[in-house]
Amino acid sequence: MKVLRLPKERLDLFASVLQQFGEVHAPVEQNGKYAFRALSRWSDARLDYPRTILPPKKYFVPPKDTLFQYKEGLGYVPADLAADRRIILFGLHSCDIYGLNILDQVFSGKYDDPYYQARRKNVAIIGVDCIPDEHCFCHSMRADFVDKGFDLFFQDLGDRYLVMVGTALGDDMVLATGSLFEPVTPEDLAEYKQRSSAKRKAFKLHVEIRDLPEIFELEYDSSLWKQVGDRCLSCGACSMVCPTCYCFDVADDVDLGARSGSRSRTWDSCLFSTHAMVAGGENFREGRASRVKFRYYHKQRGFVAEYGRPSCVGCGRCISACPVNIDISQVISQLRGIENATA
Amino acid sequence: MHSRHKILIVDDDPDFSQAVASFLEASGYDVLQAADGTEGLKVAKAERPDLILMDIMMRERTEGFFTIQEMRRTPALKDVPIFVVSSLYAQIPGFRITPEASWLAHDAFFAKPVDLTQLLEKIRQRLAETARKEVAP
Amino acid sequence: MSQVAPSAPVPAPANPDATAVPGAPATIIVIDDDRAMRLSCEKILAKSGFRVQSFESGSAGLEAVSGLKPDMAVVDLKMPGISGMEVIARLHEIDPQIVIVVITGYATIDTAVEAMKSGAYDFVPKPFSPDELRLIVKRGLEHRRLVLESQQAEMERELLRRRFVTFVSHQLQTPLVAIHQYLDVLRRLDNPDPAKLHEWLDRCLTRTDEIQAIIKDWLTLAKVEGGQLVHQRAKVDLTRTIAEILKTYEVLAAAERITLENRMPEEGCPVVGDQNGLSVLFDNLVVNAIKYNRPGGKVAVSVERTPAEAVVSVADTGIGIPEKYRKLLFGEFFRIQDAKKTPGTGLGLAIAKRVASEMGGSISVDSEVDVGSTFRVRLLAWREPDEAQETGRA
Repeated sequence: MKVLRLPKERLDLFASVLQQFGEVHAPVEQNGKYAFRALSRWSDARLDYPRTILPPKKYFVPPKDTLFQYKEGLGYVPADLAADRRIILFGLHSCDIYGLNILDQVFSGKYDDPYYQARRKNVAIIGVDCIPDEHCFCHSMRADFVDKGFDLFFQDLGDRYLVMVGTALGDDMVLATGSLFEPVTPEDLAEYKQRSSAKRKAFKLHVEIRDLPEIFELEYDSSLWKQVGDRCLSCGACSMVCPTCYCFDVADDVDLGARSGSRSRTWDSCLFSTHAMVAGGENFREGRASRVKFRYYHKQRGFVAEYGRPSCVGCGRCISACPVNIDISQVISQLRGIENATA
Repeated sequence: MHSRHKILIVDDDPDFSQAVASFLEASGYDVLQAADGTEGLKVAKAERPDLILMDIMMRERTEGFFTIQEMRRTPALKDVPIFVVSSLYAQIPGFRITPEASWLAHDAFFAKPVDLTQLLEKIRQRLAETARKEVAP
Repeated sequence: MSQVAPSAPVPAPANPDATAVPGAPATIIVIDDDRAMRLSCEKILAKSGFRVQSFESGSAGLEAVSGLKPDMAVVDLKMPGISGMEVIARLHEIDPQIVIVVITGYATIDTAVEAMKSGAYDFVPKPFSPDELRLIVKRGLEHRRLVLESQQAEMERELLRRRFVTFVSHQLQTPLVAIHQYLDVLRRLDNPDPAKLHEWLDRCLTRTDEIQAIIKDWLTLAKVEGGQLVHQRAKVDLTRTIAEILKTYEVLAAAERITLENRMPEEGCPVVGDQNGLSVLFDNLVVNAIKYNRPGGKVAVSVERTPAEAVVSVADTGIGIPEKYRKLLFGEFFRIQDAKKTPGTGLGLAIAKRVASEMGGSISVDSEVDVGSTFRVRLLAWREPDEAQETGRA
């Protein structure tokens, strides 16, 4: 793996060169929170952000995605995917890259999704490392370090970055900048190792996942779910902000006269009341408790059975976003019978 | 006969802007000026210039590059010719963005102080190109 | 290993180079397997005011080096275990700047030469008198001081060179480009409008003034770093200094209706420093306070004193400094982007900071946007000789 170093004071120059490869997007501040946006100037970028409101999945699976249109006489017109629009996401944390790797499994595994694929091909990923805050538990979910899914990864060493090159595109980005990058020194490596180990110790939130699927199985009828369900509002915020929630609803929008229309898919959530409703009106998860339980089970057990690992990345967004402060780590602790846990 | 072409100069040094604007006006162009990237974007959207001269180092060292990015994201400005006019490359030896290689392209690069004869020639060439493209799409 | 308790306690030095702080005693370690020799060296050196610690063997000494960070090591050549020669090599691996003096009972030319070639500074043949040891130690420490100073100077020269490149290309380019552009256009216009011609020539002159100001400030900064303007340690009366500075800015302040208040104590405010350097420092702070003020505003200079320090405050009622710029404020060429486009070179605060630290003081700022800023300069108070504490110079 190619490793280089970049003094932080040159970051703006690097970001300018990057524009050769696409539009540069980075986390920017809005009203005290953060979101990925196209940059108007480099100083808007906040690479030291804790988390964005929405995860990067919005670039690959937009909240509302028009699949195709149809018009009498014209037939089906596939949606313009803006496939020539190249974007560079600068500043993804490991948990989010891990989340995208999981979405890759879902959208290009058994069922290849051309809409997702087209966008994934045109978006470059530059990762940046981070310090965990009180909601982060990516270490427990093994998502605090990724070895693939990025073109470049920047490790913060104080006044400079240690840059890991992940793909040929990342290599091209480095080559395009000419003399901005420098070779890595032994001091850099020592600093990296020290910071890496300090970061692991900095996590305040821990979740044990080792026998978690089994615990879930055993506690299927726990009264805990009713407790959590009573608090839950079914607003779906947790699904919206989750890097790996991918449920979608498909609906047609037909014009009056039924001569034209379009089909789009929109974000859905298993917490919405109609998520498990089928034709005929039968709703398999009518109560909130059963819907909350379903989400947890899908993330920590069902997904494991299907894909080999939980789809939760420990980013802490759901904890941050929940209007009634339901905390996934607390729910799991209660399930495990740990004292003092308050779900 | 078509009306005079409009050129927008985006530069935070009013002296530089003024001098070049006077020269271009005397050479037959209408010239607009903007003092930073944000204003430049606003004026460009409103006035739809035929060509833009973009300074890079304004309030921030790389402000101009990001203004170009913003312009390219704006459908109306996606194809407007942009000349980068800057002393950035002189100040940071070894750093260079080749105009042709850019994904979000700019059309030419001029170091400051600008050779006015070359600038004028290049502007004429580029505007002629646009005119040809319009006639035969 | 037995550590013989030295006559003076040996704390771990707060900074890695004990001789860099004027007055702080140097730390010396003695490595000799002969107990009598260790005790004797300790006594001799402690008496001269050094901090001494001795070790029975090379390995014990080497273990302690990174913690103690000694300036000098006195090493016996012939020891069991790790030989003196190897100790020399290993000491230099840990600290290339440590000065090593070798003591040996088998003084042959060969041994001495070999030791010097391996990095020892000098050697003392046994038996030696206390004065002989002291003399060599003193010379060794002086050598170390010179080496460190020249390295420091080299570093500064390198930094200066790099900054000079930035300075030349960045700060000078902009006004020169503007002037060139104006003159080039004027040359090409067939019938330049006289009013425009006049205006443009005015602008060119203003920009040349800008270049002059930058060069002047740059030279001042270079002088400060080269040691001029800051090397004097005399008694300076700040009340007088401030009064003189405020007087020179009376006209400028009046033009903006700004009141200048001198709240320095009438009986005087003596500090340790270089008169010229301090004048430059406060000149920069006062002119900033006036430039970045609002019309009808105020600049007040006052001082808080303790027996050891004087903290001078230069307060203004100006535009203030946003939080995000605080860290960058004292850097070179840093200019706040303000709507007025206040002229300036961006070097004023860098100069002020440099002067303050060269005088053993510091400078800090408190500020609130649209309310004002207060710059505080800490300086050492002047104390009459009988008041001054002993510094224990080695």
